[in-house]
Amino acid sequence: MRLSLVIVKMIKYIIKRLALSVLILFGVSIIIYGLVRIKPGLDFVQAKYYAQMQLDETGKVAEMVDKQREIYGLKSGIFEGYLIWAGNVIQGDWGDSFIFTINTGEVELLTDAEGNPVLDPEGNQLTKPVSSSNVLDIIASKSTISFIIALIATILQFSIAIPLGITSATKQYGVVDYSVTVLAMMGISLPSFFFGALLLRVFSIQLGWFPYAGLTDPNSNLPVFIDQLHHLVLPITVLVILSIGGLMRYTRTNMLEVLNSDYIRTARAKGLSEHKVIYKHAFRNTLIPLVTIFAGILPGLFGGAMITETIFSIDGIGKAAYAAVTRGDIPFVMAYNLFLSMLTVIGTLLSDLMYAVVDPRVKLVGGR
Amino acid sequence: MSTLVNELDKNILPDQENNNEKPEVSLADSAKVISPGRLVLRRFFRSKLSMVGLITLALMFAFSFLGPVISPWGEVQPTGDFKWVTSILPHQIKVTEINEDTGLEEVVTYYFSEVSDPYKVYTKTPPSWTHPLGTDQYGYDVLTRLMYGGRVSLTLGFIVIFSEVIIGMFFGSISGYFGGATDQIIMRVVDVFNCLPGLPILMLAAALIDGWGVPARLRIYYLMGILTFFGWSGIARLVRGQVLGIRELEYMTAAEATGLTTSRKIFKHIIPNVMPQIIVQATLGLGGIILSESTLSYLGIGVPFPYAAWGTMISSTSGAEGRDILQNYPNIWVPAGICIVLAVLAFNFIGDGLRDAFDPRMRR
Repeated sequence: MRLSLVIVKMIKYIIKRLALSVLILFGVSIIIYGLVRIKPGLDFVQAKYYAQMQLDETGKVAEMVDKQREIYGLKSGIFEGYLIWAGNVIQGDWGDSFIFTINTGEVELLTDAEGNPVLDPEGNQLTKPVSSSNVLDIIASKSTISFIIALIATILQFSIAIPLGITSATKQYGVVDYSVTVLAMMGISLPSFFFGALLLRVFSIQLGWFPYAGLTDPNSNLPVFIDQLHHLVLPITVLVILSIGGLMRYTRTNMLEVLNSDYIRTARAKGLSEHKVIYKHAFRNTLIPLVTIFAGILPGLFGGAMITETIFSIDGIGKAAYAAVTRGDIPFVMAYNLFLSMLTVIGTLLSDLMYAVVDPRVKLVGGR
Repeated sequence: MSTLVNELDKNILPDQENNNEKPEVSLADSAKVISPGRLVLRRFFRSKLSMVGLITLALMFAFSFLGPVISPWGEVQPTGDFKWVTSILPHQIKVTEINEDTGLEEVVTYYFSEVSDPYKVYTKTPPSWTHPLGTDQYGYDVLTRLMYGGRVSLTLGFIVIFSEVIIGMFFGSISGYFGGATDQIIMRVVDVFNCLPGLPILMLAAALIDGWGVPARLRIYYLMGILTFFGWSGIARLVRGQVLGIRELEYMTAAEATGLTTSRKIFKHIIPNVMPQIIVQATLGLGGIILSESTLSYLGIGVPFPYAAWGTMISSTSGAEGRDILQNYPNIWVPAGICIVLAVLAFNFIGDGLRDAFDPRMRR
């Protein structure tokens, strides 16, 4: 096939997949909005500000509530409301969080009523930091630390799981294999909140090796970076142990499949060393299905870990989402869910494309 | 069914040797024919891990369903140590009154205290003979609550997976059998459900039922509905894939030729052949559902207080007395965690064992 033909096919495929992704996101948004709307009685904005509205005499709160309800289309019927909300979302207006505010880092120049700059006694322009409750700003600012944690955890996870998975496949039914299988099972079966509590109990409270909660300790005399890493050891352990099992089993299954294929038999028959057979011929081919794992990694990398972050009081996006759910901050929860779904869709798209790039046998025909 | 042939070969071989010595016994009489079902069972029971899973599960069932009958305590019966406490609420009010001596108005402050009737405050107790796992901060017996928690988790798990299988099988088989536009529509809906984030969307839904004013006892049914609603898509996709393959087999052409109705073809000829994969998937899925339920309960939006759930028992480590319970009363939260791990592990072991038993070629 000529190169230009391949490129045309690739572009066609990408366009088709993109259209499909848009369709999926459309469905996801319908479900999220529907969930919020089917609740009878007061809608979430009214419920959140109910007490304040009763106390308020100036009518300011009622005005604000009215404006908020407008954004989420709560004043119209569910279909019309969805269109209003979806329109706002497409235009980038995802709404304001009820409970979170952050400093954007920018400053606003203070001006008085006539628009003249306000100066301090020394003649400098006075400024005030700009704060924002926009859910997108909050997601962006809170996901940094979550991303760092998830990145370290993912790297560790891959560098432990792949060698172990390969060893257990090459020495099938050996001691390593059985212990890896049982350990993987344990990892899959452990609830994160229980494992986190256990680690805290043993390593933080009893042995005192690691700090109890948070990300930094003002009383610590360690450099900030080391101190933060010290705080992150336990949460990262939880993330790695809990997610390593699946990857290990996956690597093992793939490796077993490859080891049973004809070309491995040929390689062995040629008289290649076992080391060469496994690491040159088999291992490279096991990497192909691993590419599909990226679909699952993407939401994990940016979406945070709700339970783990909450247990260890790390101020990431997962903890924020948990706080938002418990405190009725529906705008943030809606945005968070939509954000995660988008990441999943993008991840699936990327992994499909990468699959096609990595494995030349994959033909680019049709979506599925 | 190549495996069946292999098994038969093994059984025939020694007999053939016998045949050489005693030619009067025919091959057909001596060869033991084993039905595929028995073959699967035999392979399943041969695997050690699946036996471990099965025994663990049987013990868990006995513990959760027979245990409460034996236990002297109830699920929400405070039985631990308590002390009588009266609360004192100090008040002060200012009253303007006329001083009788001077005849002038002045502000007088009165101080008084509101003393409540004595009420019981329960304390956590360490394990003892009457309470083998102690009592929690509400005075409930931990062992008994563990049993009731198991009832909730196991019952909920089975009901949810059963509903998921019914829904998933329905949509999956329709999608795979009819293909075309039906398939496209159903599969795009399945895609949508697959792209929803697992825990966050469950949390959103579970938190929203709070606003519905659902009574505590009924809440668990809503929880089941939510878990089913967000969980059926995996089974539908699996069934559809299997049906696509089966549809092309020769025996389906034969079924077509005999003029069977569509529903008969689907339910009598296709579904039974998908059943093994569904059973495996459902068993593995059960563990996941128990994990989801206990996570929601841990977060306080699952099984509501005062009813017992394993997740809720662990959540006492993050409440008001969290640090104290975490540090000094592992008897309250560690057993619940062990129960969750055991139940999920058991289902995973059984599921793996079943998969290997149904199809040894798929052995992982």
